[in-house]
Amino acid sequence: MPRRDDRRVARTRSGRYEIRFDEQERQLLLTLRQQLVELLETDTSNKLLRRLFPPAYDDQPELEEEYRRLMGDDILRRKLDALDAVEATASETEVSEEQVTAWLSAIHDLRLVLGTSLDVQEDLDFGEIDPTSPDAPTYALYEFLTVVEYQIVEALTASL
Amino acid sequence: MPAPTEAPVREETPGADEVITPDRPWVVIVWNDPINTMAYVTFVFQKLFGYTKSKATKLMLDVHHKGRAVVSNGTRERAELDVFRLHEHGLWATMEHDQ
Repeated sequence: MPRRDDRRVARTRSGRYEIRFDEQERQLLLTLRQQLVELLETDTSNKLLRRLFPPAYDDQPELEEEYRRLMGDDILRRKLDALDAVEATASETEVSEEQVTAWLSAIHDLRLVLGTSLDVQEDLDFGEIDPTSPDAPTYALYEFLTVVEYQIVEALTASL
Repeated sequence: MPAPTEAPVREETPGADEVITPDRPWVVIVWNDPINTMAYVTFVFQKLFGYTKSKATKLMLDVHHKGRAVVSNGTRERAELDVFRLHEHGLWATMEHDQ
């Protein structure tokens, strides 16, 4: 009996990528996407975004300031472009490598933001989350995105 | 230590038993972050630096267990480019003068 394949993302033989999200999951992703875009466009100094714009220097404020000035816009632009690509392909069932790479970028950034809001630690165990806690829905989102990110990485690794 | 098998496009990661040449004063460090999964970090190292899966995994484990790892070294321009690419991929990377 064949093993049921419940992966959300999988590489095809022709080097494209199947997106097997259901409608609810696609809507969810679009909602999260919209929230992150708004945050990026209006409040890049928001604490929730600190992992999206980490420092380049530990102890050199002038060099850090120069790095921010020269590179900050490019990093922001790349993240917004990836989020745009997700919106543009949100209903697709098959996307290109470039597009799935954008999905990976967007999903990774969403994990960084959600993880920051949850203050995720090394020892996080999804099985131990209290389902009645107010954070439970956010943990569920974070877990879902973690699984999808892992599957995209697996699928893309075949192309390295 | 076995000879490198991948194409020498990227610098070798400096280890304790490798010499840092005088004209390569900067190192790029990736720091551990509980949000980044092992699979993702390993993938980024392979993608950005062309490391084999084995080497990328070793570096990732260094980040995970030791809190940080040097992933590349070179001129200031080169290090800044690597830091930028790592930041683009959502990893926490900094650069500093090699000690």
